[in-house]
Amino acid sequence: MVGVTRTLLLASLLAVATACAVWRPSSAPAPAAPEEVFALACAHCHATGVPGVPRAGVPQDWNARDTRDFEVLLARTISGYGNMPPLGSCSWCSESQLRGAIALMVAGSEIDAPRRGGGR
Amino acid sequence: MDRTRRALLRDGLAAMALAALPGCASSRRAPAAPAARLTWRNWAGDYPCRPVARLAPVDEDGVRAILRDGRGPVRPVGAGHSFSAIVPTEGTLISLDRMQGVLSVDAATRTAEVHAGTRLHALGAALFERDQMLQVQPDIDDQALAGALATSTHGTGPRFGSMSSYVEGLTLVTPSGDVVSCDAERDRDVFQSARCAVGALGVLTRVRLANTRPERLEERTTVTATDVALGDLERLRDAHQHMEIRVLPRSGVTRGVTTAPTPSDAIALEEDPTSVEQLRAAWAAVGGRADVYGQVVLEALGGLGASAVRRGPGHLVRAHARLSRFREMEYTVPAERGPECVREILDAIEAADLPFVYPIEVRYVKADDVWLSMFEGRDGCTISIHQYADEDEGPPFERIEPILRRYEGRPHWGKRHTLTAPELRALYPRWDDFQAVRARLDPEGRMLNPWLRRTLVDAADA
Repeated sequence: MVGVTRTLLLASLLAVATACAVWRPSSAPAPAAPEEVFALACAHCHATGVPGVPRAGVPQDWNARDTRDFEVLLARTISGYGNMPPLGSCSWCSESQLRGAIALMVAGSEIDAPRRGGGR
Repeated sequence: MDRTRRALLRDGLAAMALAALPGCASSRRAPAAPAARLTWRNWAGDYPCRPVARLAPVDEDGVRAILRDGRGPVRPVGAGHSFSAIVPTEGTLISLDRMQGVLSVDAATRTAEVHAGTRLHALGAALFERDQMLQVQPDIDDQALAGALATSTHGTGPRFGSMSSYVEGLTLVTPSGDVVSCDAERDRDVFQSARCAVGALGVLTRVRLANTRPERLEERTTVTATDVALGDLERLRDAHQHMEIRVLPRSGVTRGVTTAPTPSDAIALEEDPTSVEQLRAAWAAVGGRADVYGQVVLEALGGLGASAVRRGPGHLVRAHARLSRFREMEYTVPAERGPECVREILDAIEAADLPFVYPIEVRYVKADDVWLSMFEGRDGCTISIHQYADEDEGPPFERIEPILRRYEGRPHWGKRHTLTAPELRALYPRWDDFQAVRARLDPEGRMLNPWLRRTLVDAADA
């Protein structure tokens, strides 16, 4: 299960690479998808096994945390927690983008499913 | 998962992330819609702001549009790893996170043009794949390249300048939205200013770096007595490619760190990132008795002469994890006065019986000619004073800063200090030249925030 989740996560990152390689003559940029937010802001710590840092796509790491409340994780991300910078190092992310990246990382765990919506 | 596998995985992910980005960066799109009203804070958590917009353009045109069409103050933001109030603004924050990656490399000259938003950890991995390595690198690699250059961030080694000194050319989007590409021949005044400009001239978008061939490095950390370390500091400095000491206040113990190329293919990156937490736990355990504390620390480190070795690809060996938040003040004093200054600082801590145990970092950096670099015109010894983020930095910082100033210290632009523009002007011979460029590129002061007005602008009128 862990391996499958992890494989899916890495596959999604590859999908970002492919998607971004396409030139898009849009007048407005597409907001960064959760996979891009993850790759830019989260992967450096959450994909490398830094001691004490729960790994993306590894449900037991998240299940072992002191909370299984998604909103608590979001609040910690916004304010910073431990060595994690405020806004999870994503200085430009909206709340919904942070929600998306967190949801990607905790997928398959017992963390509550994220609520829809949320302000910026 | 051990540290080696983690490091390799990190490299892989970094490369993957960067692979995604040039395609994104080449698309021609306007800036993102504002995603505001969350509070931004620096990593240390002590400088918050609520910008009206936090934007992450995906290409240079997007940066131009923000500056050309926007109103009000603008500040660029990297990783937020500065300990000064260099970033906060109630106006617009511009992040270059979506503009990362290597644009081109020249194998013959070992140079590379890169997006200025590239995080250093990702840049190290990307250059390694292209048979290049940064000449120098700070020991925290979270920063964005543009942020590191904006503050003349450095490594250590008497024959190595700061990161800013290895910039061969750069592209800057000015506050009016114009694009200026400059180097030592073209727009030299802008070049000399923009290599370390605290984000006051516009937004750096591209940088051409003079790199070196990839090296495998061996880092050796050795426990020694502080008196011995300071007495031997200049010999050690000259004998090693990279050298620094981490003085453990109140203990009489110092850890000397030397780094040199190694032929070994072994990778061993393990270290204990909790060691600074163990120091204050030990201090508390002995009830603040310095004599006992010194013995406890020495014993915990394995005694005098004990050493630990890390080795592997240079960009990985140079980086060190930090697991707990801290605040930092750093001054650069003339290189030859470094040991004397450190002794005076330690004496002052002892005399005041300060419960201050966070390691003091002492490094050396070669002189450069970058106008606002702390190393402009003189070889420097950098002395970094840290404090745990959940403790009061006031007593140690207020006691130590006057000592650093007496030694003609220049404060790090990205770290704590109390100097104002007139005081800084006296430390930088090319200050007025920089101000002339700033007045030309940003006559309305759009790139300023309150901290920059205090540290940069007042002197222009002095």
